[in-house]
Amino acid sequence: MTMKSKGIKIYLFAVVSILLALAIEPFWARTALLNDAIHPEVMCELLDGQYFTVVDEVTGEEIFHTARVVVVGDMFQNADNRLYEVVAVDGLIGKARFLRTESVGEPSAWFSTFLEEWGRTGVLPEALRAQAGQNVRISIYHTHSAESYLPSDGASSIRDNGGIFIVGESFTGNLEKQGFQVEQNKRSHDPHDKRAYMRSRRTAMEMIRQHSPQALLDVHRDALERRYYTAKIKGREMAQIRLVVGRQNPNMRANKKFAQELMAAANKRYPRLVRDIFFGRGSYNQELHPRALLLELGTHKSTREEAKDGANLLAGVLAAYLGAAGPADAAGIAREGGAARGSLFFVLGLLIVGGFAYLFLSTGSLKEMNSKVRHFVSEEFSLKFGKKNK
Amino acid sequence: MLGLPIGLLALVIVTILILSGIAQRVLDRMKMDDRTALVLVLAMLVGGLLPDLPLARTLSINVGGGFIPIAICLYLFVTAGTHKERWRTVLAVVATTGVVYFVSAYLPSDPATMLLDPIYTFSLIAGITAYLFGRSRRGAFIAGVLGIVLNDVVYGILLLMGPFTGKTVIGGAGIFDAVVLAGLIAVLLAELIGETREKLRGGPAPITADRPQGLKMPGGNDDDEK
Repeated sequence: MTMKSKGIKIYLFAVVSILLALAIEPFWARTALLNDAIHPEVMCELLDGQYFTVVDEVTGEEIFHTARVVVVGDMFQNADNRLYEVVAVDGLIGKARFLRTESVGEPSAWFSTFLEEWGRTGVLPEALRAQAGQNVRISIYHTHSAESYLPSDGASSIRDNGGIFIVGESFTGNLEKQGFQVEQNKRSHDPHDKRAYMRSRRTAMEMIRQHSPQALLDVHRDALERRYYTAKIKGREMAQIRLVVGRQNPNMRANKKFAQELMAAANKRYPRLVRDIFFGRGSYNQELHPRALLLELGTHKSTREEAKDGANLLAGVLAAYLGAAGPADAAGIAREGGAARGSLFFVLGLLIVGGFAYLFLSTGSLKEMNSKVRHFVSEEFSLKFGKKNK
Repeated sequence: MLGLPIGLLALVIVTILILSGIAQRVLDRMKMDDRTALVLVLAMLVGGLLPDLPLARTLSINVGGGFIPIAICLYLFVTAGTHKERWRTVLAVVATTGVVYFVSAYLPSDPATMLLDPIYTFSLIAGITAYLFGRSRRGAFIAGVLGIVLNDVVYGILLLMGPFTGKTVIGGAGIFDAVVLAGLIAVLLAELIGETREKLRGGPAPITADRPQGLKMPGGNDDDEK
């Protein structure tokens, strides 16, 4: 048998196998689409009732719980601004190391003023009041459209129409009351599979295109026991909020700063409203917008009313924060410059490191690499219009 | 994105510029001259801002993120150098579609369970599968793009068959969509793996009798033109 005919036979075999697999694929696909319950471990973050507990590696004290999958390198910042990094994961238990206490409000001078005055009185400082709330646009969408609140909705997951839509509506209504232009998109991205974020990214981009929002929020609920997500605020028991920032995201520094300032403002006015910030693996589509954030409004064991109450307080905080940020910009006060610059350097640094690694791999020596870089600069940056590349 | 502080706006613009630059360099490597590549990237950017074209109740297509990449694929396929290259490309498209489908349906859904975010993971999966089967930059691009597109089509059809309200837009995130990213990453991987293999072997593969006539120049590879 010649090499050529052997090669063709291998290809034929591969094609036939794949076609056969695809022929029966629709049945499997329909099963997965029709009945999420068949693969609960696949469709949800974890099995119902399971969650990660993260303990302090030194004291053994429980410091963090989440139904999101925790991996080494994840970080979280609690309401006291203590930043931890997960250093080991064994089953559903993680160990975290205390890194540092994050300073919030520096170096943005306006934010310190805002935090102090608004946090104490609920009234914006005079200097930031001029255009507050004017022309601020916010876009809200739901990647996991089935997420629901068990006590109110009767199920923790309702395909295409979860209770999260109703809580999102209430959140939207409260932001609109503050004079903001808010768009809530109720498109379903179900099933809750690996491509859900890929589909919701299209919704997010569509909203950015049509609405040019100053903040882009993906609203979810967590899946923990109710006790981890409930606090008494202003005399009422309500669902707390977690902010999630994607670590694999070139905008991470900008998103992180947004999350940190929002948590500081929220907890200054309403202590314990935002329970923490989780910095998890993934991008959660946050590279699409420098003020993109994922919100967990309570958990599946919270009632919808509790989730609405928490969300409505957050709406007031967001309104004050974004409202104050507007005039701060207009007044030429340096804002978010540091975080944005950091993100820019990150993106450019990644490009340089990636390019260097690629060149080294493909040339194998510094000398050859040098000549290739020269060639690259002289060839790639001179557009050869009308001439086909050889 | 008016109304954002200047630093954040600069961040958005630089991200788009870098991605466009990469896209232009990638297209440039596939039977296109610099100007065509530049025009196509601009068309993708502008097309991404146009309203989506509806295909069915559950499926639409974005001009910049879907229509133009698919048109590029068709052009590359029609102008493929050899019959064998076309054959390999078809195989690569089928394989990529299958692998992306199974990975998305049968692995855990939380982004944290993957080493990389799904958007990059699917692009990488499509890229690796596409390179293994396609073995050329053009084949890799076509398989990367169509692997994601066909999965969207399957999703749209399945939604149509059931009592579901979902909808998706092929290439809806424009130049940031998995459709475009998968194509770009596939080509970059093809180049990276190809160059590394060549280096490990100590130079280009020896010219054998079954190599197509047009590729017999020393130092040539599958993507060189006839």
